[in-house]
Amino acid sequence: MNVAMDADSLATLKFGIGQPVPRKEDPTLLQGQGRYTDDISLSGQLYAVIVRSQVAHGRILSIDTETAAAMPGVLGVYTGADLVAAGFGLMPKGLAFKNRDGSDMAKPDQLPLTTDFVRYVGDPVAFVVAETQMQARDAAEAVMVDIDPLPAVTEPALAVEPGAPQLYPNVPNNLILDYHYGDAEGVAKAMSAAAHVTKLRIRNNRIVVAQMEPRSAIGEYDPATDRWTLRLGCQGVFGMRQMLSSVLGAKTGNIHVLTGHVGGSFGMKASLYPEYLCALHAGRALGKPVKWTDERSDSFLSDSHGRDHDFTAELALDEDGKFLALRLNGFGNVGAVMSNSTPQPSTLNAVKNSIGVYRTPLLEVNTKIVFTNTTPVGPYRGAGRPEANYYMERLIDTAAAEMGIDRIELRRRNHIAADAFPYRTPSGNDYDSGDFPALLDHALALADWDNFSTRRTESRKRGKLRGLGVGQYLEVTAPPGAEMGGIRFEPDGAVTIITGTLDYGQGHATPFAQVLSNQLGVPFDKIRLIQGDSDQLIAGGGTGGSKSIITSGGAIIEASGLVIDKGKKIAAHVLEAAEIDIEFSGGRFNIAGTDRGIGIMELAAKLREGMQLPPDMPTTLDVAHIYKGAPSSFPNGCHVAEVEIDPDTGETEVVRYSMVNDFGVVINPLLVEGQAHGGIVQGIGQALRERVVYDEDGQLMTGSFMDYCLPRAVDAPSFAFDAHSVPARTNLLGAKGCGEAGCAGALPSVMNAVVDALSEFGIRHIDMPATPEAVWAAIAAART
Amino acid sequence: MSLSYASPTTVNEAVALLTGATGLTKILSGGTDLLVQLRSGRVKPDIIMDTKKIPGILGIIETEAGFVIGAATPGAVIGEHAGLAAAYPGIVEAANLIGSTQVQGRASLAGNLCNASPAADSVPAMITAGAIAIVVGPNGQRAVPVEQIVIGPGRTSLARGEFILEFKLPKPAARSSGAYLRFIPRTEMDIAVVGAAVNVTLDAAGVITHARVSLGAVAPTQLLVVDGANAIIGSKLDDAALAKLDAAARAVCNPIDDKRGTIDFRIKVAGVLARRAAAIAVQRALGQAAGTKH
Repeated sequence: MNVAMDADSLATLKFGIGQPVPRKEDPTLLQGQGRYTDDISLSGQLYAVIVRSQVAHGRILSIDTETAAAMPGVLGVYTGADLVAAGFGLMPKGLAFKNRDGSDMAKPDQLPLTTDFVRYVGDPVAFVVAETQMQARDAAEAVMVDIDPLPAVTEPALAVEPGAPQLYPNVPNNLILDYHYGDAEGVAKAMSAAAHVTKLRIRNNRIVVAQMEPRSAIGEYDPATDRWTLRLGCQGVFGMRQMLSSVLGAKTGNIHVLTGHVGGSFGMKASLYPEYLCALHAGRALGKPVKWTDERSDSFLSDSHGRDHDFTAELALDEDGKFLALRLNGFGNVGAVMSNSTPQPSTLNAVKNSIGVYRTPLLEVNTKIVFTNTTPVGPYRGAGRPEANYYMERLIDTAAAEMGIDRIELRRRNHIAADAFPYRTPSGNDYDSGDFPALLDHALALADWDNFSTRRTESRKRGKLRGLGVGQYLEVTAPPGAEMGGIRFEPDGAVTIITGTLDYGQGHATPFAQVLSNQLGVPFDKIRLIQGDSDQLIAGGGTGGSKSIITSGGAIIEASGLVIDKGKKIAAHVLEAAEIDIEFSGGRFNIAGTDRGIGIMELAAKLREGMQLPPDMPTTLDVAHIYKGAPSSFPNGCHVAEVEIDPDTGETEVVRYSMVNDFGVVINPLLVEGQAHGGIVQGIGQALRERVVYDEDGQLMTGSFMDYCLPRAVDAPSFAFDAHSVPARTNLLGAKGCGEAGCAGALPSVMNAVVDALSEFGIRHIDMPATPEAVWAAIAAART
Repeated sequence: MSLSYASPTTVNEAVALLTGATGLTKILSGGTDLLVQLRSGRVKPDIIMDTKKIPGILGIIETEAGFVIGAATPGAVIGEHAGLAAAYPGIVEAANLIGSTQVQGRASLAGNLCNASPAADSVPAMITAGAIAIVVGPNGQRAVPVEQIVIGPGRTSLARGEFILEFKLPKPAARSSGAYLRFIPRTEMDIAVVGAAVNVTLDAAGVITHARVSLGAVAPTQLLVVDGANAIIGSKLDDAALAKLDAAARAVCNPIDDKRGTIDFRIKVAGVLARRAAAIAVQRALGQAAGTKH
């Protein structure tokens, strides 16, 4: 067993657990020396450009590639038929869910490139490879795709109506999954017997991911070794290799996936996209590396979008305001293609996360997962967690207003008590820890809640409405999964961590090194991280669901224990002592009760130099370990937003924002606070500005940053940040995932504040995004 | 498909080039609209004529009579001219709302005007300042009030062979000032959903003796709102005058309904911004500090 984490003694170390160590990669990235996929250029490299459907729905009559193929520099023009002929298989079908009747969800077969029908604007139908990017672009415009247009449908509630356009012949009514969870009868009884039922129809707006780095890939094939190599930005090379294996029909050993720096993903780059397969096909067909890099306007069409739920949410309460039952009925729009979309956010994650921090004995979730003629909807920062917290927190504020109970008091009456753990929720999760009532008090104090009326009076003098809102969230994060913990002592004296999570902007190298340094006493600056090379991994769950510190951190801790076990054997030999007498602490193997010992780095150096060792003795300290993983963690917190609204124009400004979070044991508070800031700004964006809009023909109306309103730095106030940590009991670090929490806190707190500001007009709900026009229209409607 | 580029060094040379050209000729000042249109394929000119080598077309001259602003003078130069900022703060703040800091290094008043977008920020401010465009062409030179240049989206009153050489602004009377406000769905680098400019002159008692009001993005062209000016002339901008201004502004609006703003919203906000711009202009004319943030 390892030496237990001794946070107190290590907190004083510069690179110890809990220290705000700046990110190792910042100097590189800030000087423009990052190596993103598009920064890599291989010898003889060619360029691919994708031809996309310009209509939302239609039958492909013909694809004329002749003109394009004859253009200067063009080496190949390919369609879906070429990929089929080359032996490429069907796209991965993703997660499996059951319908309410126990049958399997619909999973239509999908080729990498469609050959029969196009189903959304941006659906890839062909690709052109040329010697230069410009030649490929010119030729792509010359590919003639003759499509017989069909009616399109973009709204899920309309897509399931009789007579709606059908996307797939074997998916009647476009219904992929008729999802049901919970005790329907019990919930129905509770609803009918309740003193009060609050009901809200809530649209969770579709948004684009808008990561800084567009998707990019370089595909290669080496006939001599029969190996495919794909360089791309993704969220985990191990899983990406597995998905490629199924489509390429190649063994994983014949596939090499490499990822360098990744400029943001938020869930989106986890999927296998058709463009990567196009690059690989052309790489093999032409015998040269083929690079494809998206352009921003294509990113709007082809990167999976986020959110897009349409729910009716109901909360039943008794006369004292005690929650009796929660019910969500609605739709999840997953767009047109299953391979890079997912039904999980509006189904399983709605179930797990809507309960939040409250005792609600009964839960029912019914979700229709529906195809529409829109860009696929995939995981996006929280992937259902912020949405579910948002539904509950909006219900609570609305119920409080309807019942005349103070909204803070209503939360207090329903909190899961601090001594109730372990606590089993009706979604089947076992919360291990937390202190929700105290955390709420902490947040209210930080936000100066009690003096809000003074600030509101001051705003009113300037003609502004002021509103205050809380969002107390709890996310079920870090789905369990195996992860590699590799530790390698290198010839140059460095120590390499090898693990299969993947940093796409979070800064993993730093906290992972802090953990390793803490466990083994290895100097922080000697530690490197390998994460983006599938040849180096024996396991790897990738990054997603706020789990990296828990899975890779746990893997590093267990692997460190194995290093110590090996080191004790070797140290016993070197020190001429019995193995049982060797203790390890502070980076040294010591003979118990003496001052004799050897440092781990010194021991590694001795091994490198070559040392006579008995035959049964390990020859290195290196470890390649597979960690089985830990249960989900339950980060939670309370965010308090304060907004000012100009009633004449509807403009809303977030003027104050305070948060208190429970992320358990925090390895690096600097990075954790940064994660919170980023998530909150994304949340403010979704709450106040961002919205993907399609017209009735399925054309994307918000296809550029001109028409899609992304928040900017000036749209966010300075954040007040505080921690109220209760260490998790279920993982080796005591950590709780923080990456998605910002969105979970921001959506409800900002929208509750907006509704609070508008409450004097009798407004009880407004959907996101609360744009100036929407707010103004709500006020205008309320006044008449 | 060939594209030729010319950079004449005199007005006569430029006019001759424009007059003699066949096919589509586009004039390049800062290029912040033109280059975007070229790259997107929206315009396919045969000739691009860069005016920036013509003497006097870059820079600001302050004289006893007023200001002469070269047609291609970039926003950054306009923003740094203390005399102009003091005399016509509305023009300066409007010009400096166009695009980003980088765009400001190139974007010009003539380009903003001749691109003829209903949402062009600097145009309402120039209209309320009474700016005169000096137009040169095959028939010599003519002076045209700025409000007569744009005749529709993407269309100007300039005849074949004509271009704008400079803008003239009179020295403002005592106790005069102006302001420009725009409404956008975000905080910067966006196109106005509504723009409103107001210029006022006050008498010693603070009563408005002269006013001009202009609105952008609420009609096919920028509007000179005479009724709006009349609503506040003779007043000290009391609540009644403001209400009349608001009503007058709303009355002239003829906006489009699009994804950036509905008709109702644009009309309502036009009234709000006209009021607020008038209030800032009056404060400035009285010598009081007034922020530019709306």
